[in-house]
Amino acid sequence: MKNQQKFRRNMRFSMGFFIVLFVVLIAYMGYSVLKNGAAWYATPYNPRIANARENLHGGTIYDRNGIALAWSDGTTRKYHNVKEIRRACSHVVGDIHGKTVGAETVFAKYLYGLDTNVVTMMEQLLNGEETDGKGQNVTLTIDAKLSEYIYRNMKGRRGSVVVLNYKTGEILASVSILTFDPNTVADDELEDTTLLDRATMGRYAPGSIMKIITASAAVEHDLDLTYTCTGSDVIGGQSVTCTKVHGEQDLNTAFANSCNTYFARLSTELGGSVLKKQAEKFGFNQTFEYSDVTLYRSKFEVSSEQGDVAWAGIGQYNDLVTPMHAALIAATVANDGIMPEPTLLRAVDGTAPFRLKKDSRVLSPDAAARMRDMMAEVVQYGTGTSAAVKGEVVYGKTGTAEYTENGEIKNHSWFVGFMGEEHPYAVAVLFEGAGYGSAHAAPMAAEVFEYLLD
Amino acid sequence: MLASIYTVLAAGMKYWFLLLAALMVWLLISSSTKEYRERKAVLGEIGEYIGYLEILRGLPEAKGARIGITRDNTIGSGRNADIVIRHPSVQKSHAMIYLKGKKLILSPLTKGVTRINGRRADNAYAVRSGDVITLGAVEVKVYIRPELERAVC
Amino acid sequence: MLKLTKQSAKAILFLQQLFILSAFGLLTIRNGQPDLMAAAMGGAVCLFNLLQYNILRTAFRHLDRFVLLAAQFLWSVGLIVMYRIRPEYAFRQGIFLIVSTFAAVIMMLIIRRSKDFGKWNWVFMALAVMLLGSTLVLSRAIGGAKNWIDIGPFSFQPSEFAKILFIMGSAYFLSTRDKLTSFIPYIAFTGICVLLLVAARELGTGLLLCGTFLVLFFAATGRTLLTMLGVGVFGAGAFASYHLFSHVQTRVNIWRDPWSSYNAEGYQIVQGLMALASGGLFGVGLGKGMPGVIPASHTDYIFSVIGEEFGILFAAIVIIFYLVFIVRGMLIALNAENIYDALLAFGCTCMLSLQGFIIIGGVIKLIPLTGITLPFISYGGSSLLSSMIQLGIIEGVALKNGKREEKELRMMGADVR
Repeated sequence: MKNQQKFRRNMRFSMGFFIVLFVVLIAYMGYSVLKNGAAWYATPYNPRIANARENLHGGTIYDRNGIALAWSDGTTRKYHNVKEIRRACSHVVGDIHGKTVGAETVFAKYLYGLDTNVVTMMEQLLNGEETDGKGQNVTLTIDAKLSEYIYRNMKGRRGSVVVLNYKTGEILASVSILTFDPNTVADDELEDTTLLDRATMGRYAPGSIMKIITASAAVEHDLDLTYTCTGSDVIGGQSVTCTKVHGEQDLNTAFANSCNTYFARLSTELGGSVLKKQAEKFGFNQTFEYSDVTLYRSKFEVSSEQGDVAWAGIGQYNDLVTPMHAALIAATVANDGIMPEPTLLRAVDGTAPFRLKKDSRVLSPDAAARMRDMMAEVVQYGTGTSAAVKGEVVYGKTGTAEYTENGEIKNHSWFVGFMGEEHPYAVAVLFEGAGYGSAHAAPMAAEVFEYLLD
Repeated sequence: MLASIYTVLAAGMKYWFLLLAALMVWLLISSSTKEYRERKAVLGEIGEYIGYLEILRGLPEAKGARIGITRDNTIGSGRNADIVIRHPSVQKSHAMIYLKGKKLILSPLTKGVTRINGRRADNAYAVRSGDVITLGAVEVKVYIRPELERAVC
Repeated sequence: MLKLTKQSAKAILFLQQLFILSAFGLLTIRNGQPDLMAAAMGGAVCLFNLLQYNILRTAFRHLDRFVLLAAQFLWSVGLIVMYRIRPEYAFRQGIFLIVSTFAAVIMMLIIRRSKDFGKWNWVFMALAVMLLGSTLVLSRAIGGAKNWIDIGPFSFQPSEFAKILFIMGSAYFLSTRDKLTSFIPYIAFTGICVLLLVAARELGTGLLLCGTFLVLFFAATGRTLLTMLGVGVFGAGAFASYHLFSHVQTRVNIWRDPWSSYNAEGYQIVQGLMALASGGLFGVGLGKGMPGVIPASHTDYIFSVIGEEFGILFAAIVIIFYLVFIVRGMLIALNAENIYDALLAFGCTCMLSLQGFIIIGGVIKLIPLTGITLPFISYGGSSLLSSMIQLGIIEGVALKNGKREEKELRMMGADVR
């Protein structure tokens, strides 16, 4: 009898175990489908989308001002008639052959009416219309004219320019050269990186723009180092050089002058793990879970060698970042320390979609404010003076990222920055292998800012 | 045309199927729980029973019927009795049958006829499994649960 | 006098028929021309369910209705989805269903009247090992896993039946032995079975057997430490097989990141996930999904089709039906008279539940995917037959319980309606 009692008790326990197992099953299913469903669905591999494209009439993709960028004529897809606009927006809009993941794929469920609700369908039926997935029109956040302007001013230099509204996270422009022409992309012979959207998939060494993160770590840890720059230093056994002899520096001046030796020393003072943690707060080494954009992972690594930590802190070593992420970093500083979620979808058939915003707090408002002051000084008297615009305060940071290609040492030209609250725009400019940040990226940023001010 | 009707129906019936499935699972769970609880209650009560009385004679419509005995029962024709035997010869509160220590005791409460195995019983007497109790014109046989029986004897 | 009434299942049956008829009705108008075969199928399924329910109820007074109703819903959903994928599957499955019902009834009758099978259990265990061994020797391969054997025009899966023999052997051993040493032949038996399964690449069934073994062992002996040791051994075995077998490594890799091998090994998982994503909460509607791109959509991966066309809310309800099955099965086991009966019912419930968990877990990428079927819902004669036999065993124990309880109730003067 006693045996039976114990047995029954064990069975009850097992029953509880099974109940837990199945509850976990249901919960996991719900959670992962609701969280990742959109990302799983909107891939070029999805035969449903391909099927819809072949058989259904797709809706129109508009820019934020109502300019039609892509629409369907029967089952043929047509694009804007101005070549520059087509190319400027090509990566954002995407293609319908499954070669890129742009709005055509990400928002396919709207464009092909795969998400229509029953009531609308019934109305369609009663009106004698085609019910099988009538496409909805999608309005994007990008500004086609701005994109065109950027495209023209990039003058064919490889790289990327991203413009965001840092308060709302709306992407106003995301231009990546090399571009393609959606009209001919299926047949054209393309250069190897044409289909690569450098804004979201191009990972480059950040160079000095990494100092934003290093400086913010110093600010948050109350570390105000005083250091005299003699043009070069040996830190952790590795030699670090500056472009000039900067003399005595504090955090603000070193930041404005982009003093490598100061920041190398600062990095080792902070330590590899502190830096890594700060970078990860800014989104490095994380998978970005954004609904509208697929952003490749940025990388920040440290090793036990102090020399590596020093270089990592000034944006070299194994650091990698995408232009979109760089824009988000600038946006974070601008937006009181909150990193906004970048969005591409403004409206579906005129109504804004319901969104749970995935903004995240990265810096305290005080730290962000201090960073803003420092970034203002960069443009006022530091390395970013060529990004200055008359009559408006511009905040920014230049970057010159060294890399080797075929044995040759080259530099990526970076600039990230933003303007004041009245014009809440953050910009990231990258020119591949162009040279100094101040010489190429910063002036481009100035042109963008000027356009935005009009 | 049929194709369009199908499209609309397919879109609408998603909710219908969901509703039906939800209702089914709800009913399944609630009926199952109700039945489980009821069974547990009844079996629990049965577990309380010490034994039962089987009606032998006197109530033709209930011949062979068994009534459970708990620890403490009044037998009578009244509505308040624990064991109700409806017969004019049975008093409202005719007798008591209860467990005292390890013995089952029958105790007459009235001057009505109460016999144990034919012999008149005016006072409380212990009864055993198999004994025939007469209350008025009704004869019942006593069965005590075997486990308790061993204890009682 | 106490009375024990049974709750009416009429409402549930009614809803079930409504569900089946409306689903098949929708399938009738799916293509341009009305598909009368679908309507006929719908009627046939309803008729079958009603007949089966009522005949079994009248023949067996103490039948556990809820377990049967849960199973009916599950296989009805299966039939609907199968018909939608390809009508032939539904027809074949329907025939399997009829045959399996007979098998289940036979099982019920056997269990109802028997005590444990004594010496026969050794025969069962030998038979199980033989069945599993034969797959290695005589089989033909399907997609890398050798689990089918052709006998004339029929192909069947021996492992499905070996499972049942395993449960019977387990119930016998665990209920009649107490001393640890006497378990050794049983543990050896389990080990051999699992090894044979792993060698035949039936990792899913191997996992299933291990899991059932551990749960049964724990329940019967209550020795937590030994069970933990068992879990540890199992873990070590899994770890070893990961390093020894490339196909295990592949399974783990595509579990972690199916997209990188999308064109090859990861294809099935990615398609399944896309189907679930496409369905969202409410599904895309019956007949509007794309099961054609999902491999094994009518067998192992049928859950993703349910998710796509009916939505994950509905899919969650399907999982809850399995849960009802588990709870009722456990209650039957708890009510059993002796440990042998209890272990039989518990073992079958355990095995069916674990099976459902393993395959659904694989489809939703909670655990690595293994090739086993979803009980009652997946297409497959052997699978359905095996599940129905297990159902029969559970019901058999329920019948025994009911008879015993009725006796007790009657004896004590209560009335059973």
